[in-house]
Amino acid sequence: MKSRSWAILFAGLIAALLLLWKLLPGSGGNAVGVYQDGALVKTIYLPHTGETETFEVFGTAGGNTIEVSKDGVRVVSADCPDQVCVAHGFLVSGKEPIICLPNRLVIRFQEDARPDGADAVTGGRSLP
Amino acid sequence: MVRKRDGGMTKTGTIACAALVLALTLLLCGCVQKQATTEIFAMDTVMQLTAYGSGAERALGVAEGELARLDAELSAQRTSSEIAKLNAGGACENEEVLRVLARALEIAERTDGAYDPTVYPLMQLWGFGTESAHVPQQTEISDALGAVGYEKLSAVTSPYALPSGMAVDLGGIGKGFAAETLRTCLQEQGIRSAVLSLGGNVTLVGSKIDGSDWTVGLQNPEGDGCFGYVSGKDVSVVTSGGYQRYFEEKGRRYWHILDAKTGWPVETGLSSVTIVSADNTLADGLSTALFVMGLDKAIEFWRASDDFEAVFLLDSGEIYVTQGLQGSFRSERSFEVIAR
Repeated sequence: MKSRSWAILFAGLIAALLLLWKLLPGSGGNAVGVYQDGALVKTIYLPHTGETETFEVFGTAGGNTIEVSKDGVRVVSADCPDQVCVAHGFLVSGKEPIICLPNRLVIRFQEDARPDGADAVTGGRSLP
Repeated sequence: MVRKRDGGMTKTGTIACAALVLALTLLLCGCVQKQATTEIFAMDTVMQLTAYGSGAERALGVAEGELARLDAELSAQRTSSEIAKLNAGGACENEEVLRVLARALEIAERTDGAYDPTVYPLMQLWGFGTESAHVPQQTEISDALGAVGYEKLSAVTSPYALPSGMAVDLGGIGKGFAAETLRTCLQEQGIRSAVLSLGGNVTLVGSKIDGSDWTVGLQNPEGDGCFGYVSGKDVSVVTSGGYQRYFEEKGRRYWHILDAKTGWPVETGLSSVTIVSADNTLADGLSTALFVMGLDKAIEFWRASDDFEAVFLLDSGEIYVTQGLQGSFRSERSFEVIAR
């Protein structure tokens, strides 16, 4: 084959691999989704390199103030009565998502796999 | 036709190469299944549904609607629910609710009341999951026990009403029933691969997209992580344990799993019971029932049954696994297999 033909074939293969990479689950990397009542309200990409930022998400029990810093993502304050989301601390990959049941808020990695390979965990503690 | 001898690409060759690249792309893309995940707040917990395959997102949307409908029907805490109306002395004609109630009574009878949907007055008295949770006076417990006992209920017919003063809570099997409904709903829409985690009550629909088994971790009651893993397909894995919901008073822990005969939290030396069964509703009910029974009675009960397997974790840390899970349970700790 002429070198030009090889180049066409090579380019075609690269295109195929790129398409596959885009479609593969897990290609979202470190994208963290902030969900309110099941709807994605914000996407955060980690690691966060800029200044520490905070923003608020509002639910039926009031607001949750979410902080994004070089250390990660966490809820720093909330109007909910139980404060479970604040006590959770930073979101850790492969661990439980941050959940605020009263405000129907979930903060989790969009594509996350547990380090132990489990597809789900049974018998978690009930949320207050 | 004259072919070039130097291997330079002919028109046919170029088309063949392009076809090869296209075929490879389609083949690789065909291996990649679409995945959709949704979180739903229902039945006093957060639920995560993940489905795979084309149409997964749309199918989950329909499933969400089903869940909202069931939540509105079955929640004892919602004043407008069918169960709340039943508990308030009304008659119920809702076929689906009566079907869940009939299943609850069937499991209560089979477990001799170790699972009992009529413990609701006791649950209210103890106040589990509310800010007013406290240890009641024995006289209050004795009074409440007068309105508890599945055997006081008549067989379920439509319309159905409870005996005066009695109340039911189908929370013990509600999530199992919901999982069953969601599984059917997803399968009807062509979904062959999904994981439904309803507040930690896990249902595996089909197998993983590559045909292999799913893996479900069993929560370690003490701290993070899992004490063991069960692998399987087309089954539900449900765990009950005192650690899941409790309050502390005067340095003592009181958990939400009550003995319907005494009105007090059960203490049998079990830390958690996990049931693996193709019957989601049964798995949900039996996880509570076998926790109430304690290890010895639970093993006896398992030996007399053929529709579930179990993992028992004791307060001492010992793990017992029924024979049917021998090949599918793994743990870093040692465990004992219970022979049939």
